[in-house]
Amino acid sequence: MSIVINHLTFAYTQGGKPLDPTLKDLTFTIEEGSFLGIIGHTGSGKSTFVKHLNGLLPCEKGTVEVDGHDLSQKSERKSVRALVGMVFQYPEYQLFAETVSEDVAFGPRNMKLDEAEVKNRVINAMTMVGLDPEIFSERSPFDLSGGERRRAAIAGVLAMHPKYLVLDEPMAGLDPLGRREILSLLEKLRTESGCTIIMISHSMDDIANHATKVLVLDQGSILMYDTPQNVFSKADELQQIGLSVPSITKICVEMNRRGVPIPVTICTEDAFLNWFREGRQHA
Amino acid sequence: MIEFDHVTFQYEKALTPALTNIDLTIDKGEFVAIVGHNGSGKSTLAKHVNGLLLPTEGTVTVCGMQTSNEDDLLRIRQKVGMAFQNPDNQLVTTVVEEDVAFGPENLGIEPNEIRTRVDKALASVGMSDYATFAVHHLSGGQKQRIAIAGILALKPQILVLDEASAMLDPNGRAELLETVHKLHREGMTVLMVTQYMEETTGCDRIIVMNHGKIVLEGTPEEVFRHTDLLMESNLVPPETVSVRDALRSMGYALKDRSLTAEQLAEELCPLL
Amino acid sequence: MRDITLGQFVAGNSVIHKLDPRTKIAMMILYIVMTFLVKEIWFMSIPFAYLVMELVFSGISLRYILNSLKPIRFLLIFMFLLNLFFTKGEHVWLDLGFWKLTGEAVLQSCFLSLRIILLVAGASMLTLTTSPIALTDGLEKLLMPLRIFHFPAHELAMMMTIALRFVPTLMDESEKIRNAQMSRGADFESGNVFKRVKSMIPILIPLFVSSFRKADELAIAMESRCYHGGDGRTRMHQLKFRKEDLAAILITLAFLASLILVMVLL
Repeated sequence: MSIVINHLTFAYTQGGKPLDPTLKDLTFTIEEGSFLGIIGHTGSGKSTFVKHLNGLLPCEKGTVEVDGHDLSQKSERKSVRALVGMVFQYPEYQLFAETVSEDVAFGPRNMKLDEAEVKNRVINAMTMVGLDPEIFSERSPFDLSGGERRRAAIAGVLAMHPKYLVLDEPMAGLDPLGRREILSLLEKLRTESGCTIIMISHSMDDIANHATKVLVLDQGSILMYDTPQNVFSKADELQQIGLSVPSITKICVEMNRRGVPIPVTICTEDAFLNWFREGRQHA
Repeated sequence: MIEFDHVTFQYEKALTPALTNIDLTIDKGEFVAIVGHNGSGKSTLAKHVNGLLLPTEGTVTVCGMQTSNEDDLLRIRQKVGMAFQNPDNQLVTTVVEEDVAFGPENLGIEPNEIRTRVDKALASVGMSDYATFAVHHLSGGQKQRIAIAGILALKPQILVLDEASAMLDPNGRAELLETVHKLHREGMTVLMVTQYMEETTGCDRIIVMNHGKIVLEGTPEEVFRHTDLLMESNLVPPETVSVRDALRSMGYALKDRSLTAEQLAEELCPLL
Repeated sequence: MRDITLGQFVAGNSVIHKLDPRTKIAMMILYIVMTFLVKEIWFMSIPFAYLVMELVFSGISLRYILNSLKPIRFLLIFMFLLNLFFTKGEHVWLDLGFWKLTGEAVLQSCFLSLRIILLVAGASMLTLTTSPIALTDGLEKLLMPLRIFHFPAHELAMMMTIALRFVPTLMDESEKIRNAQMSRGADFESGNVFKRVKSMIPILIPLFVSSFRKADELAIAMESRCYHGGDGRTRMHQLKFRKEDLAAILITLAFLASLILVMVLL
């Protein structure tokens, strides 16, 4: 199963008139179990694109199919919203209930699950994100620290057991510790529950370290859709559209400029150090 | 220019102090970065510089004035400009130039002089073309530069940035950092609170905070020598620094100043 | 959502646009006085002529004025019918036994409807040609004298300024929260009124929380920028009362005077 995007084009309207398209003829497939990193300049259409994955924005031209559910059918949207979990930027701003457990239960209750199952899922989701249910269940979400609030909000999405988890800059504004916690949570979700992760991020280092595929959007079109190694090896092209590359890629580029032929497909610390360990062969 | 003398601060209802016995002197024209994880006390420290918070014990002296003296507070706030994290929540009016004028208007400055200051401040952050724009049409980075222009219009001597880059995208962050460095070159004393270690490589001095105390202090080269201490304080050194350390343990004799990709490559290549 | 501007200001460069907001507020007050002084429908032609003149000089298209009347169309129809039914008169035009349509009733209905139309259209002329910010400035200046009676003129204007600044931000934010809750399966579209109101809670609470946080942070930022109330505050943009303003006021007064004169003489 997978998410199939076929010739998706979308334009916002202003005063009844369509503006220039934000998304232009996107066609690609997100494989189940992958970790997709989406990168692009602010305004490249990243956030608009992910809103199509659960029908928050209508498919006017082209189609999006999630596990065979065609999102251009309005009736399919509800079932897809249970399949595709969405974590928006600063998700802690959506917390509203009196207690953390009530808030986490909001999604499962909307799915009309029975109370025992809801309770079960709440406990599991809270444990998953590292908020001990014993301690945090009855606390007000507004009394938590920034990092805890963020994780409570993510638990609210996880409790719906999404097969695909979409996150729009989930680490924005967190301190280094908070960022590490979120990233390891995502890795755990993918390896243990087989959840497909789709993450928009500005941090090229994080993308290089975690993504299996990278989608590069530029002015609403796909510029690249490839492995991180292949995407980041095209540092010049990325810099041309105002994107940076991972720190390791930067070092490799600088080394090449000084006559050391290290492959520029190296974009993680491990790969970089391995190149040294394995006798510095070039590609 | 700024002097913290045995400053301890405890929030009401808090069990432990947010700052414990801080001694700190910042000289005129210095660019100092304060780093630390959330709750380390770095923002609390910043809010002491312009008297938004007053020490429970000890004193803070700015340009010869004590922040605890209420009569001096307005003068201190004119000398110390402060930019905050959320670009949206610090702009007061709808139109860019009117927002920049807000500070000088509060000081009762004469209208023609305000006009001159506003134009100069906007030019200084490279936003002159946006003078009559509506604030909510700007990007985060642009809003933050407007916030800084609003501060510059007060003609301060010290600029305090309280995690001003935290909510910006990389381009916005670069724009902001470039603006701040430019102001520093023109003579501004800068105190920058941040969680991003990468942003600190160009500073004169880095102060690392943990549990309300200063745990490490020195030039970037000195501070990044102690990656273990940084990790203990829940900070992550720039990837370049951790690569440098790993290469060192593999036997490559790299110097302390290999902090950016370019510097590292320059040190490393001759060794290969 | 993004581009909703508060009020209905249409940017322009006309003589009317360039008038001091205080002048325009005064003009509107005088105009309202005019429409209320009129006791017979034929004299409505004077405020009507005034409105037409303003419209011509402002370069505002008639469409905007008609749009501003749209929200009150039902009120107008209701008022018209009410007066048609309940005004008593001598000149019977139609007798249905239980009710007589009289000439006086028709005249009275037309007269009152016309007054409402002229009032709303005149008020719209003010908001169409004056930006909300200028309007705030004008109000602050006009209310200044009331400060001796401890009327918070500056505070009121500052509140309006901040409200104008944050309306678009909060609109954006409510849209974001709405999307997030919809992704968690919230349903805002079906069910009865009671259910729909209840379904708004997950949007309203985060919005309130966020507004309070914004207010807090803004207060700190304002304080850091030396804000200490209205005392001793100056403004970069000074309101200037120019020749054109004097002319506009005099013309308006002339209309008012001629109305009074005509009513006394006839």
